[in-house]
Amino acid sequence: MSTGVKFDAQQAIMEHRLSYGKKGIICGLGSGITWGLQGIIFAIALTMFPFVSSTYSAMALVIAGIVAAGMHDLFAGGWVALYTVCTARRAEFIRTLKTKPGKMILLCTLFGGPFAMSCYTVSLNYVGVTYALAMQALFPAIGAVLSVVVLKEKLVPRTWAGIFCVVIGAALVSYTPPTGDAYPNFYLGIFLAFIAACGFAVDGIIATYAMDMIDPEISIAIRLMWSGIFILVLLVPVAGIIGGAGLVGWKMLAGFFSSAGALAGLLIIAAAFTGGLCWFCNYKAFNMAGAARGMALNVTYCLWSVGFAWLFQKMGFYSYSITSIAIVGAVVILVGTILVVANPKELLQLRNN
Amino acid sequence: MMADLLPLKFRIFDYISKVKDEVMIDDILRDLQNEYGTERQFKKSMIAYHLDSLVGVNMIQITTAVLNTEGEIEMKYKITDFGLTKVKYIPINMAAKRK
Repeated sequence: MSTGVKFDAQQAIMEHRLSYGKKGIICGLGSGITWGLQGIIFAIALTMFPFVSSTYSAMALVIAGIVAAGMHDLFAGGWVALYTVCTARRAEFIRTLKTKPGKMILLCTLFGGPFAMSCYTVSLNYVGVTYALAMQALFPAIGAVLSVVVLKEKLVPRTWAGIFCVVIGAALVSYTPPTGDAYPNFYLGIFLAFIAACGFAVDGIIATYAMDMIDPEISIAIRLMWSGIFILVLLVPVAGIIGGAGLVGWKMLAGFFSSAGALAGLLIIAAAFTGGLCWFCNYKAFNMAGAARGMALNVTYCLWSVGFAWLFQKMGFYSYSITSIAIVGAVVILVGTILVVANPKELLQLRNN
Repeated sequence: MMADLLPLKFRIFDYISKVKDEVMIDDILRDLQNEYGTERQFKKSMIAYHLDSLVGVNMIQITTAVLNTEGEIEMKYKITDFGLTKVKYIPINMAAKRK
């Protein structure tokens, strides 16, 4: 900028802030793309030993899902922590945990990690994958309501319409025709799936509140590692004992050290890399573009997962056939995403406080 | 010694909340040098990142922008009324040790 050109301070401030908000939108989309990829790698790993075995009971298969989630979170947190250590922020962990916002991150982890995931896993058994996934897709809508109430975020009617489209689209993409099985605990299952969606939303809102004051990258490393430890050390044995499967979950962990289980372990570590990147982008998007937009952009993973599933199917790693309803859902998500991000100038004032 | 410090982002917010005037990045680099100067994270880009983050959630605001001698744009920051409501989260015991 030459000294001969008149300098407009207000214009410079606006451009600076717009640039920051747009990076938040890119992070939000990045979280959706990486979660779409994570889902496919994770699903492939779940088809392998020690997550599946002909000797497993139905409950053991449920525990396998929890073990996989715990391992994923632990390794994903490790990847993010590695990044923060490489950027010379190792000392920030202890410092952050000594503050109230740091303790809030530990608290919100329990909502989004073990609590929500347990409810979701149990709901899968009670209502099947169709309804459980459809209810889970509600979490950006719940998050948007909470963000307005708790964080005083400003959302215009178009953004609300966009979030609504993303939720509907995600439910359509996730939809699989009901199998006709009878579910005696159907309403309890629906309730638990709804509670799980609330847990994911509360996680995002508390984390955003805490990250007003602390580093999002440190926060997400703490959140993921804490979630992984909590799930593997406490949730896995407790769920196993209550479900009558005993300590089968911990035995699965031992299976990763055998030659038969090594590949599944490596795939989980790879999925954790993309998962860690997803959460990394997601928490940054919450902080830079607002929690409501961040959650809506994260749910676009349903859209990206269609593309990744098709790609992996072509490479012969994954069995997938695209349905017309999934295409409709993908288009609806795309429309919703455009509505959410249509006017970047809204990012100049995220909140009413 | 290191464990007694606040997280850097928190300390930047703490610093801005205690300074009456507007603050620039160079002020933070100068005044927090004694506390964080030995750490590789204590550099202009990281401080700018934390300041942008605090502005994004309305804890602090940009009051004006100026051109420095190199022709680069530099922002001046101050705490907002909303930010003042968050000062309560700064741990008093850690602040006391810091002084």
